[in-house]
Amino acid sequence: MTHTNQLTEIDALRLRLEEAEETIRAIRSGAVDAFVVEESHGARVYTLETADRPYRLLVEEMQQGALTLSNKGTIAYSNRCFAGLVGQPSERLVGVDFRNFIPLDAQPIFETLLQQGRAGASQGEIHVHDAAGTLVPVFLTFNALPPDSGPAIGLLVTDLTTQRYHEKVNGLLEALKEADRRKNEFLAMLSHELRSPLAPISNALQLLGLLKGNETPIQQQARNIIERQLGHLRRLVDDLLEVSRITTGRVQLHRERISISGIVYGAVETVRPLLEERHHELDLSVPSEPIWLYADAGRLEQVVANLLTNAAKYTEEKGRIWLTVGIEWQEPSGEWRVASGEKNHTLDSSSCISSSPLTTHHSPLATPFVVIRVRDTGVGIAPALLPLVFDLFTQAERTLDRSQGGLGIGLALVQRLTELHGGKVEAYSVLGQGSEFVVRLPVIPDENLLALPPIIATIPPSRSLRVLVVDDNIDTAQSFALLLKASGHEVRTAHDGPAAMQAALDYQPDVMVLDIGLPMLNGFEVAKQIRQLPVLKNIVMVALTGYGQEADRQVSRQAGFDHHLVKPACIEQLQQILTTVTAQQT
Amino acid sequence: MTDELNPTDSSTTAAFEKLMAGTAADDRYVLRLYITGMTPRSTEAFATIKALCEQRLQGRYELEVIDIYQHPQLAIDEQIIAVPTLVKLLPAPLRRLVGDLSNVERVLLGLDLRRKS
Repeated sequence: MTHTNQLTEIDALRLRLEEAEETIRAIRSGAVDAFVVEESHGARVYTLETADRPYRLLVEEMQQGALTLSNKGTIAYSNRCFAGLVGQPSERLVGVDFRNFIPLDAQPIFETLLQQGRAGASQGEIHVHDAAGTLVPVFLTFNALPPDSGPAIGLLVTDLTTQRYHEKVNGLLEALKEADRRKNEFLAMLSHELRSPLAPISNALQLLGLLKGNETPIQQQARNIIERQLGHLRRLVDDLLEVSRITTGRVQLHRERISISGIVYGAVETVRPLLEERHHELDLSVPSEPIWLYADAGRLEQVVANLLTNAAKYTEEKGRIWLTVGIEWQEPSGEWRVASGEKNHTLDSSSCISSSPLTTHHSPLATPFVVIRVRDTGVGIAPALLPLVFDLFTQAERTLDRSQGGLGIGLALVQRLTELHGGKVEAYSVLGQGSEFVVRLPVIPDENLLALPPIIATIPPSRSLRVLVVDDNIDTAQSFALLLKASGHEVRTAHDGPAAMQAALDYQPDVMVLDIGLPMLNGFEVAKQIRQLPVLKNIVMVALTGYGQEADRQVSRQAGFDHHLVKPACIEQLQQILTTVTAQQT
Repeated sequence: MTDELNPTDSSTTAAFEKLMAGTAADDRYVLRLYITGMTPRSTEAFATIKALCEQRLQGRYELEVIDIYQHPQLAIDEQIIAVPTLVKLLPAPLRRLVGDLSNVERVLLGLDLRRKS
């Protein structure tokens, strides 16, 4: 052995000795978790408390019952969760038969599960009695434990109460959704059905209007009543239809560049009769500079008109209503900056129409919003009702009479239409002192764009045309016919598909007004057949239908229709079409 | 001192300096950490050693963690008596560190990454 080799060996021995000392030190100071011992049948690990503790804690603290059972079903160990469920301390459960916690009728299931568990594993649902004796649904998972720990079965007990609750809630939720869907469908159909009779009534009323000069005062009064109530009824039906469209997401906005002032004045005109009837004073404040929006004029007018109507309804007679339009800037932080030109209303401000310039201090990153505020001195809204005012069919319990009653959909419409425009509406109120509704809508930021006001063409009187009116509702057909005759046209009517075909061939009309929902041969089929007949190729066809969606218009175009009118079509729309036909023919 | 001081070495000076520096920059380390399941001592030991290796031996070490619950026989074969134990298989000489492995100084010494004063 060389000198170097001897040195190496001594070094190695020294290291082993150091290791041995270190190991003893570590064990003495409690710095180890476990020992590995070689026994006759192989290696075995003896763990110290530090190593067992995490597992013990895991089992003890878990939110599921964990037990070990003897092969006969006696409890050898129970964790805190199961002990809590049955309302006994863990140590008292040792030696207790698990069957004590199971109702009699569930015993056979338990026996089967236990038997299968002994053989390997099993799972099943069962009920156990809790501390109060109530039956609790649980899910049991049995599994046989390794034999070296003595014959035993592990058992997990999962409380299904919460899960059952969620299942129940989900079930109810589904049922509610279904009921809601049905309600929406019903509303859509109802408003649709209610609309159909309105057209002939409206036409008949216009016919009576032609007799204006020869009416007795009573007839005139009666006609005026019918006219007003018909208008009211139409608005209600329209609202209802609107709600069903909005709730089913079938609203199409026809957005264009519009000025807010036009919207506001239009809405004021609409509500003026109601304001006058209730002797309210309206204080209107609109900025002198135009504010441009990209919006659906009709829908937005509806928003403002509904807010005004609401204010008028809930304010006692001779009350005061403020309608203020201004610009507010929203900073990126969410903070609002108000244009300083805006008038600050007080209760004693005089009734007037005022306009004010808009100046404001805001950061370049701020976004402009037009803000429409409608305030009244009315009954106000109870705090409990305030969060619900925009929900469908919500109405305050009024101390006023129900002469201005409605369906409770006006504010719901306001909210949904505002949101469709990317805006937001808020309500503020003090009971007994009035309410304020604030609508904020995004403004078109580019102020250099020039707006072209829509050109409204005046309608010259039309030349006499041959018109065929087809509608299975005899009243609708006849009232249209009478009105057209009154304007100097020749008119014939038909009430079903085949009759319409025959009349078209016999009569060779210039214009054919065709209801889509016809018996035997529907309007689309009639139109398609007519388009295939060379003798009738110049006929102008007008579809008359309850469906006004873009998709519906497309279908009628494909069927060969030139025009598409949505029921209840007013005579003016039809007159306008007849005028263009006359213009094309000459 | 050790067989690294071989007189046949072409550069005895270089070998001597390498020895004095404690470890060569290209020595490959093979380490095995024996633990028991999920005790705080095991997790701490692993975290310390992992961090140390990343710091001092990046790219030239293998660290294998063995749970003696799962593989008791491996521990017997490696002559492990108690855990946690860190075994340095390479570079020679083989060394075992038992007990508190969260002490950085102690681990550095045990891995020959620092000369004894």
